[in-house]
Amino acid sequence: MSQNPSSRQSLGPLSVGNIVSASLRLYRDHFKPYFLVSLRVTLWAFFPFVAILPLVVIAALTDNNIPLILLLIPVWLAILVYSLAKALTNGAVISRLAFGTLTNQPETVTDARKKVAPLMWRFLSMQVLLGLVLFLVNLLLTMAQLASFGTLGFLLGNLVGRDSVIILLVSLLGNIIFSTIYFWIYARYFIPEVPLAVENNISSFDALSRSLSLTKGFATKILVTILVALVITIPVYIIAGIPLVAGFVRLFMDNVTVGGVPSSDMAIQLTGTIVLSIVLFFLINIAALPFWQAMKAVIYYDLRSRREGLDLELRDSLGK
Amino acid sequence: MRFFNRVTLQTPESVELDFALAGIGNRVYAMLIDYLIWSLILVVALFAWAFFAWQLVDAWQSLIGTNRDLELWLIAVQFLLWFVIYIGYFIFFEVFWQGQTPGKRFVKIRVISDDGRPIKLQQATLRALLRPVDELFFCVGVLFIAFSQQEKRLGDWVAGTIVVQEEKPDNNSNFSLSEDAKNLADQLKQEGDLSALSPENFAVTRKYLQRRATLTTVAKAKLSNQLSQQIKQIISWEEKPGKEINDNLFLEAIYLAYQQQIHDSNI
Repeated sequence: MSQNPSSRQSLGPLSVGNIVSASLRLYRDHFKPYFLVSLRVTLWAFFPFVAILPLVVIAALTDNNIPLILLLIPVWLAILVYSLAKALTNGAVISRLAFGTLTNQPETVTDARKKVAPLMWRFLSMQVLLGLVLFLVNLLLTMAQLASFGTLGFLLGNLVGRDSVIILLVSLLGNIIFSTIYFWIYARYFIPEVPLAVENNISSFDALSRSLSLTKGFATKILVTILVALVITIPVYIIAGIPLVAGFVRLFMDNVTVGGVPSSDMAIQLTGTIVLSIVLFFLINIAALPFWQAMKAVIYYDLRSRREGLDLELRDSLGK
Repeated sequence: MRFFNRVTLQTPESVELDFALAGIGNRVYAMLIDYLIWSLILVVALFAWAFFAWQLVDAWQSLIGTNRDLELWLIAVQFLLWFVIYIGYFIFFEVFWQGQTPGKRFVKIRVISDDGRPIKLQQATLRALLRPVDELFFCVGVLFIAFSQQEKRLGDWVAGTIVVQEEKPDNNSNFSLSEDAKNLADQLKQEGDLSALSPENFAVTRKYLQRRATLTTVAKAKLSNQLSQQIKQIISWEEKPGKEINDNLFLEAIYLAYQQQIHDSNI
């Protein structure tokens, strides 16, 4: 068996499975740069939690001086907002790098960062907008579910009794239907940071509507892609859960054998396992994030090939 | 860069076959579909057996009396049934559907022997028997597939198999061409220098025609304009003033003219 030499063909539209494989391949072949950028993302995301410590110490040392604390809160909020914007921007750097490779126009991390860094506040405002949209969607769906299935359950409850299995099934059905609608909308807004990172000078609002228009008719495909990617990444996340599960099992066993209230000793142990799990989760997140960011770029590339013939343009310009 | 691993196989008849390997994404996707179907079959079979066993125990009880052994036997058969379906599902389909399970067929991948031949019963059996090991902690097989050059999980190593993508030749010409295009094609053959067109140009034109139905209106207009401008330049042909030709029509005509030209030169 032998491997063929690489061809410089552009990829064109991809199937669900190939989107996932290509994303993993992108990450594997650029492990070091992607991982280092991912490390920055995670450190920035973690920074506000570290920054809170000195602020608490300052507050404590000054005898809980109220005006000072009132001053420190906005300082911390500013740090939070800045760190979040930094984390989002770095995440987008990975997507930009991946897209560059997909379109045969690879960039160095420095170049990609130079392009993306000035858009820092747009990434933040886009994320805030996205959060608002999803929050509103969630709120409306919850209200709709209450109004439809809630009422139905109530009426049925009067007919067949509160504890009937039918009520349970009806509410389950309601949950399935409304979660499906929510996930469907979520899929439509899955990739806005990629157009923001690679297209020329678009606003955060444009980025959201780009995501919405490109994903039209492809929400199911995106959801299936996310599902397949999740199945692949689940094993690593399970690792993070092991100490936590083990901690709880021990606590449970101790409780059964001793039969008493949890002692302070156990509380310390449990805190230890929780901290360990959080640390593990952060480490695994550093490792998994580039895969997801690359996948967003691959999905974006696939959609642009299908809907805008991106690969046709490029192939032609390569042929010249 | 290369996104998908490829292998070239040497068949016993010294024929070289080139395949794209299935890739981790396709394989996990196929597995998810198979497990969905498989669990439906399992649920139906186990319920049917439970129902049958229930009836049997009832009948036995009314005729002969209680028999603990019979109940144990029936439970044992239930376990056996589970095992047979778990293993049998994959063996059955991989052997009788030429290396494809329903999931693999949907995802368009296939198991073949290392020498490119269809897999045999014993290979399918080995793959199926090692499946539980590959699924240990959800990850043994995934790691093997994702990080080895030939994308083999343990079952593939032992059985001597690989999983490849089914690649359909890209000559799908399922797109409609207008009547006017045929006339224009004749005109282009006479007036334009079609020999200047490269196979690459033709491939792009064909791809555009294949895909234009799914393109957005803006992208369609932009791409067709860009492509037809470039091709007009290549074949040194210009439309007569006042008789502007629609870009899409022009590209259809180019597609036809190029094909006819190849056809003519082959005769």
